[in-house]
Amino acid sequence: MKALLALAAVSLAFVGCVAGAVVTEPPAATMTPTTKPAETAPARPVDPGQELAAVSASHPTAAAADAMAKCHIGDMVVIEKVAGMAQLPTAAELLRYVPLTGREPQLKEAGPVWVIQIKGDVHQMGGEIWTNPICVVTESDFGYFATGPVTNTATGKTIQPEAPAVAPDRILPPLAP
Amino acid sequence: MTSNGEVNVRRAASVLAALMLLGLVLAPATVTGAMPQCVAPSANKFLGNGMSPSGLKGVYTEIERLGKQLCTQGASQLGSWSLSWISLDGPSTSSPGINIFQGGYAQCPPPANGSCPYNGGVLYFWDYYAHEQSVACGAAYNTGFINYGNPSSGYHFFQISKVSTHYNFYIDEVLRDQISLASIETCWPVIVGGEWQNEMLNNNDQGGGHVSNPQGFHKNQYQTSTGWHNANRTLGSNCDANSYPAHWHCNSSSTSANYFDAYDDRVP
Repeated sequence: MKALLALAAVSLAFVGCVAGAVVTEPPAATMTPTTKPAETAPARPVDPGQELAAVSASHPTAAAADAMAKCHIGDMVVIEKVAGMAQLPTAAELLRYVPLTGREPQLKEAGPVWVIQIKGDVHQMGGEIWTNPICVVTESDFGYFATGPVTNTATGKTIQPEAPAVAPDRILPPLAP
Repeated sequence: MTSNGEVNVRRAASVLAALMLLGLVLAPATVTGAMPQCVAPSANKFLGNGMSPSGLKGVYTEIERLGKQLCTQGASQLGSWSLSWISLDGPSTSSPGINIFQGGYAQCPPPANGSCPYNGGVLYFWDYYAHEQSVACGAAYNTGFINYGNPSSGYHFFQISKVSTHYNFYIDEVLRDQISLASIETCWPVIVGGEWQNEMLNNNDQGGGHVSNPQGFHKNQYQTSTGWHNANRTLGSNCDANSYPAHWHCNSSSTSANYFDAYDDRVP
């Protein structure tokens, strides 16, 4: 939808298309990035942390199955692409496991959260492929975050997401059989 | 938004005849059973219209539920989908992600493809919210496709509009989803346009509807602080976006300024 937003520029700022025009490429960026690319997140020493219960791929609990469904595991993302999954006691704990920036509004939500780490590519609206994204399910919200490389499908250009202020120091457990 | 109860099936016989004739004359590879094999590269492709009125805060359309075919997969999986939707759009920058709140119909390939939720291969209602990576809201984020069930035949109404403390998504005038004001007005942080689109990932995904029954977007309207307005276009004009004019076609109605139709000439 960079392409689409591009296209939305209908004589307007979005679509860059005039009537009958062929839309094949996104428009040139018109604004400078507001965030820095990933590169320099300071590392923390690996912390074994608390032991998180592994989720069974074949017999997940109802809550785990609900989280998988909200993240479209099995319906859009094959389960073999799940690199790690766990329930964390608080949303703030996410920063110990996945490379979020720390400014995500979901981090302020109360209650436990599910996090699913994907290994591989996932198509996105907007002409992008997200590599190694994560899906987070809170008590009131769910969705995917671009925590890995983002590739523009029209240009083939790949950009890195903003690095977290402090790199994660814990690892999510892989799925159990 | 007031209800538009009547189902408008705008198929003037003369227009249809012309479209069918056009399909017969121009379609070099008419497909009757399946779409051609998917071709690389897959990238987001569009067939529809957009507007950018000042103070935009809502969009509305009525879209017929039509069958949509996807490209035929070969040895390797290529991105594929066929969608019809409306949206509110935020600015597009070079940061990862997009700023959009959209919803409509989705036809998606099996999960091994990784494009969008399969739903057993059945076309379904959906919506989707996303924001770019930003100082205000951190990493690029989206809800993914949220499935609201399988539509019956006929026309269905889609509306996104700002109501009090939320932006709401309605199907057939029933509230299906709410996005907080902050999700748009902080994370985007402004609305720059609205769209009425068909979207495909592959040139051999079906673009819009059929030669005999184009994918109509009817009674297209947008909302500003002064109320709802018709999203009028020049009668008979081409759509703003057509990523594959060799087979996809999209024109405003010759009789109703806030209607447009889209079809794929490979699908009779």
